[in-house]
Amino acid sequence: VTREREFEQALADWIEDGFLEAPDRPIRAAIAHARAHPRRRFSFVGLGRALMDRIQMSEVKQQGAHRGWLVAVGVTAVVGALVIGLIGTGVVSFGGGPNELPAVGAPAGTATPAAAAATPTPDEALAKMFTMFDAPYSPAQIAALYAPDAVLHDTIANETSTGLAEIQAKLSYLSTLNFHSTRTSATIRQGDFVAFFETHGEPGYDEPGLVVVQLKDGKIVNQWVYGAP
Amino acid sequence: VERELVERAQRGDAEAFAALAHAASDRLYGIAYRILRDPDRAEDALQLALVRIWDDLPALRDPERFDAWSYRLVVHASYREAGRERRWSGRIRPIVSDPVADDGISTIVARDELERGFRRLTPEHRAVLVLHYFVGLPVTEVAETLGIPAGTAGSRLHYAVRSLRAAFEADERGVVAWRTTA
Repeated sequence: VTREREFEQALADWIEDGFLEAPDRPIRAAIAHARAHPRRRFSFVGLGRALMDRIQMSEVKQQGAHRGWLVAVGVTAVVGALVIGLIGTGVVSFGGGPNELPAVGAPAGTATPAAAAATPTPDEALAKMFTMFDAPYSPAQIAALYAPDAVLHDTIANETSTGLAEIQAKLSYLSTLNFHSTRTSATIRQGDFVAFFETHGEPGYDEPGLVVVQLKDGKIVNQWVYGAP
Repeated sequence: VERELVERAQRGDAEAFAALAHAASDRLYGIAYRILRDPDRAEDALQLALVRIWDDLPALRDPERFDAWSYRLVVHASYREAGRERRWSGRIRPIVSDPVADDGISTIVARDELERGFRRLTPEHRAVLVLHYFVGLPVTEVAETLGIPAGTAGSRLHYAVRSLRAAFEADERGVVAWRTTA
């Protein structure tokens, strides 16, 4: 009995030993998440689901079945107008244009020869952004991609994350949901802007989206996420 | 943790949540760290748990149960972190101990053997040990916190302690043999 007690005491002492104070980073990130997300599940997906629910409800009721299609057509029109607008203003071009964009994470001014732009290949650092949800969440990776004062515009949910901490909190939260993002188009580049289509969502809820990124000095300073048809 | 703080956070008060997070984090991090034995993973588990606390707080019916509820969230976050690393056992780091607390070769070796024994346990067994010995919950409350039958919690605790004790006693025999030959 004495030996059992001795062992239990040794075990209790051993488990008690070690760090007792929580680091600040996860607390700050969670608080930033709370301030940026008025308690709801993730926005891209949530809004997509809400949209689908609305469409399905309309179909069930039959009286308004066409409304769901009207919403889908509306989204198509908005995204189409956006892309056309970007092309028209020269922000985006579909291949063939000069590829003057500095690589993400690289110093500005490292222009790629125009010949290489015929089949635009995303640089390695930017490509990592597309697969960040496939790996364990890494604050360092986010910090390498985004400028400290970067802004992430989630136009689907009408949410804006300003600054690295808020962006990290948002992306970290997505990571906890097993969120994933897969690029479905070539990367379109012009000037400081990059655009591409993707599918994103939690497992089983893939939804199409359009992502436009503005770069400065090799880091993302603005990112817009739009729903796509 | 104050009931009023929990209720305010439930209503969406982010400042109340901030106070709640600061008040609860040391204990939650302590639990995650002791299950995972890795400070980086424990940080991630803490963040995941805090985010879930904010998101799911309205579903907590009894604010008085906040502590136990938050323990469950951090334990599950730790399970998740553990599952993310395929070579998890190879990444486990020994807990940094206070050198002053080590009172001799037998203690150092015993701690090492406990670490090795603990490493061989599953996260589910570790969680029961941590909630019982670190948080100080009786087995029935461990079961309630984890949402498992009391019998399951008891058998997990029994198995885990038996495994560690076997490692500990093997170590004692080793120390005696070492002293004999030295």
